Amino acid sequence: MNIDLMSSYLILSAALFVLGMFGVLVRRNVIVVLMSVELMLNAANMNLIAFANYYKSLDGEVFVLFVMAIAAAEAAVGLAIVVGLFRNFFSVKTTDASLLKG
Amino acid sequence: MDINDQRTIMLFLSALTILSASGVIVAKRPLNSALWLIATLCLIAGHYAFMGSVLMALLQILIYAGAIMVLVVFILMLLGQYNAERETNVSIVGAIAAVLSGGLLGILVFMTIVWSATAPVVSNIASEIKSKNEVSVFGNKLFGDYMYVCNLIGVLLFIALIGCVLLALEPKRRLALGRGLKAMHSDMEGR
Repeated sequence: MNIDLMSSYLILSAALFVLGMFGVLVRRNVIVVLMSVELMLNAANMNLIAFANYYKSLDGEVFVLFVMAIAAAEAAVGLAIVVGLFRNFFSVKTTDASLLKG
Repeated sequence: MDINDQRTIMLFLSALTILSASGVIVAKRPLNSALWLIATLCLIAGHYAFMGSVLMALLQILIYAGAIMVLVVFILMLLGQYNAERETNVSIVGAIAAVLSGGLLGILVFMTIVWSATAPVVSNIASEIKSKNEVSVFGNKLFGDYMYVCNLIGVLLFIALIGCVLLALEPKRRLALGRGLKAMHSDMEGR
């Protein structure tokens, strides 16, 4: 992989990360917020894979596998929390769960 | 494949990826967001395959687009989130979020430009990937250099499993489980 392609991949993953961050900040539905977090994790993964291919080493790819495992755990626990939230508030909006807002 | 073809393919895939990623953010219905996210994940897998990490592309489709997104869609269906979400008070939050995201994007693009100006030349590094079968090298790394990390990930997944079971229990049964565990513990101490 040459350096032009590499920097375009870095910019693409930066754009994906920023889109995910925007979604986390703006959206109200907790499940959509979780999906935006997945988008941010994927942007980081793309960075790792791009560097692994640029430096011709497999360490980055092993790290991507770990990130995928963490993402799976995060999705499972996050969605269980969403179900608990729905059980208590009958809604999955972040604006409705504001008991600690003061 | 010459370098112009490579750039064309990359730009085409990137445009599609950015488009579907903004679909995740813009779509009004959560289910539409989920479908856009599945498209994004498959396109990212295409990027991985294009870069040469075919194994990672496969795992991306299997784990992300397969397992995780099925879970997300299942929970969406279970909680009945079909309706469009009515956005409230997004104007000020949206403005702050846009400023933050735009600033971060600017910083990252600037850092990329600085990096590409000073990056080391790597054309003479011996390739680890193409030398042997990629999967066997990958497996050796995973269970060799990173064995402890791999085990720790296993422990983390196990704890996440227990946490999910506890979160899914009804509060009454959770209390009963706590009392049962306490009784078992005092039994063991009494012995």
